[in-house]
Amino acid sequence: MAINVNLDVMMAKRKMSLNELSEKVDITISNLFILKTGKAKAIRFSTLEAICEVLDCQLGDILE
Amino acid sequence: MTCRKRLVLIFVLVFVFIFSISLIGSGKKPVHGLDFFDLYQFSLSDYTISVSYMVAYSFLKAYVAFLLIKTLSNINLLNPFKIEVARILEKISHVLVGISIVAILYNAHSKWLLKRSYSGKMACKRIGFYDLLVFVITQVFKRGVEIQSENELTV
Repeated sequence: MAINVNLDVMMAKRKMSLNELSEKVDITISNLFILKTGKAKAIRFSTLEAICEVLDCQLGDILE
Repeated sequence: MTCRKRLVLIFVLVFVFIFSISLIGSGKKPVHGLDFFDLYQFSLSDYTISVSYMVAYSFLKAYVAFLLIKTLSNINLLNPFKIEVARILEKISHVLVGISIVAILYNAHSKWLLKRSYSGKMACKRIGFYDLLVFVITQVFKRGVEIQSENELTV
């Protein structure tokens, strides 16, 4: 069963652009783009934690 | 392999076989140190089999050389772990294993002929160990490419 990444939904809710998120989370835009488009093979817990902290959401909001 | 390539291959194989018989007809001419004239006199079917092995062996070696040139033209030493390079190397390893199989069959056929009181020299000196080594190394390289790809897509 595939895992869906709803990063763009959360970014829209928080009115945050990819550039802004990239600066706050300290991840390159290309990596964020890979995550957003669902092409990522794996994600580190530290990355998930940082994204959830910046977007002020739960893990289940990002990954479904 | 497309239909046209198959036809070309069959044509080349038939041409080589007819050419070899014409060489035999013109007199004793050792091919790579192996005198096929005696074998031709001994048995046409065994001669056909032996020439087929030699043709297959030479063709596969030429194909390996072609794949090697293709690898060298595709490889970038700054970042050699590409899937295209891994695929070509895997092809090379498969062909090398194929060459070993052809050599083993040829040697088995030669031994069988010797048992049938054929006294001519026939041998194909080839050690399959290095081909298997290349096969293992190629599989490791391919796995390395997959791991690199996973790492690159790890956020």
